[in-house]
Amino acid sequence: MGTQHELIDVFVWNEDITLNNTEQFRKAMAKFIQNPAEYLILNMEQVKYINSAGLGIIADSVMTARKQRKELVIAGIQDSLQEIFHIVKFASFIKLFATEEDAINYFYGE
Amino acid sequence: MIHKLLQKAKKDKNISLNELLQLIDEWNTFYNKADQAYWLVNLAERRFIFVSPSCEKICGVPPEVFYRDVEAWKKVIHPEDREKVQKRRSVLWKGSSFEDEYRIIHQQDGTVRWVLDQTFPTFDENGKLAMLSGVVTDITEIRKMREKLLLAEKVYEHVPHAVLITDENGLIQFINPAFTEITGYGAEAIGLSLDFLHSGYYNENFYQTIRKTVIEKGQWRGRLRGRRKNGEVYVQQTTITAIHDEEGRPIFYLFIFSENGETITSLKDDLKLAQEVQKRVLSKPLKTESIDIYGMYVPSEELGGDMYAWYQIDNDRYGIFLMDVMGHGVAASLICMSVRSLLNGVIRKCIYPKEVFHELNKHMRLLYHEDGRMNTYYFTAVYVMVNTKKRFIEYASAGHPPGFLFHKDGLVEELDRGCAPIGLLSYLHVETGKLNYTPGATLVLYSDGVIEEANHSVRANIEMFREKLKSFIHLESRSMIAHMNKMFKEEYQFIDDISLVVAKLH
Repeated sequence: MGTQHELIDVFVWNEDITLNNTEQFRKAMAKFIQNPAEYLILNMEQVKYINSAGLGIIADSVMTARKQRKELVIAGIQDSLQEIFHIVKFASFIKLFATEEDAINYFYGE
Repeated sequence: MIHKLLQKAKKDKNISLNELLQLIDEWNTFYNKADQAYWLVNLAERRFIFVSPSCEKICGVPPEVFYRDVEAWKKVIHPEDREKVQKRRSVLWKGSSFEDEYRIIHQQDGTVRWVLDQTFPTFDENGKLAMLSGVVTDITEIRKMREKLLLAEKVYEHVPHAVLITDENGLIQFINPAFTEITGYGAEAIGLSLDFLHSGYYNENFYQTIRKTVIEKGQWRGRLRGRRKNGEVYVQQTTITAIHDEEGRPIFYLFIFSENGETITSLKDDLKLAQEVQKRVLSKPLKTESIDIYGMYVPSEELGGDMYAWYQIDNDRYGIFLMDVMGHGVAASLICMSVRSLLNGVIRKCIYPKEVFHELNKHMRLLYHEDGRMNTYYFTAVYVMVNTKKRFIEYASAGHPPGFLFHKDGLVEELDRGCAPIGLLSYLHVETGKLNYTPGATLVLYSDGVIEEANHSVRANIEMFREKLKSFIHLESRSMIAHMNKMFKEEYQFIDDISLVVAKLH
């Protein structure tokens, strides 16, 4: 599922995050964070909804990555998800990008 | 009986043997004991002197066969029982009578029947065994009933439901082991009336109604609280059924208590109690010259994670807080209560949104994240510090849907500054907002239950909710909430908890 860009690793999650797949999402994210790449991009282009447990998993992943001196960002955020992220103020601790390309540029630009 | 008749015959020489047999046969006919056959054997001559004609009905063999063949009965006995019967009959030679139940095979239809065989020895003047007489009774039906009874008894013994049976006067006749297990009462309950089980929760009227229903309709079903021997109260799904005799008179009352009902309903009772506790910790309406705060909380089916509270900090300042824990259930409710217990101290000590949230975040991280296991427990919250003297509010929203400040001139401001939900991150970067107001402004805080209509985006729902509020904004806080409550009931399906706080700023 991941696409390699040398130091960057992209993980694409392509379904809404609900009660039914929260655990899968948790496991997938835990695995993704363990990736050797320094820059991690979670691509959520196909996601229109995320439940509160899903938000918790993302927040945890961000913190875990940070401890390992990695950075996790989210790309491909659609309007509906944007609203949710705005309400929960995710922008205060995780970078959010409209497209995967923007995210990659952010890492390369550093 | 035959024995006595024979003795009488011996004393009274005027009765001939034939006359005697006639008499026995007449008796037999008279009583019409089709399921009983009498017989008489002369041992010296090894022949039947008499066999009732009813024997044919019992075993399918007519009397003539017995008159011809004294061993005929042996062939009728079920092969598996023959040896056992033969052995037991040997007591006759010692002068004792014989009585046993065994199986025979009906010689005409091949069915297996159960009989009660009662045989009596008769002695001559020299004390020598001379005759055998007896009665054979078909007890197949009785056996069947006994088996049914045994079956019923075993069923009562092994069902997990408690069973109790009273007679028509309500005195206990029977209880099963499950009843003893649930209530603690054993055999000592037999013969008592049911009063000792009464829990004290109901008045006599209630029991009267149950009695009336059982008598008139034959059955009553419902939840009953009872009292265990050790004084504890239990809740049981109870079915009371009247059992009638053939004439329709009630002879027994059968009580079945369902164990499943107990655990589920008592758990439900516990949840209800917890909900009640949760409701009671919510702040009561507060009304001063400068502010008028009113709140409402509609819990969902489960235990919810919503909570609101407000405090007067000093003469001019008030702190208003509303939170919503992620998820429902016991864990969410516990988090709510633990925050509630801290809140008063935290708000009075910290006063400002930034400090209040930092303090609460510390608490959440300490309590629920220290071991790294409960890493998905967090809550969203909004905290507003109102300064009624200088007429401004300072607020922060921790991942919470934006509250509204409705100004008198129709302008609505959203309380959308803040930070991530509390407990999610080890350090919170809190951005606070400050809004001025003039008398007549209204502050509205709510939980996301009110904006969870499925078919629209979150933003659209927030805006729809704001418009609905607008139509009642001119009302006092209390009536505004009453109207909103009515609207929720009419238009919303309650999936989540709903809480709403309205503060009128004068």
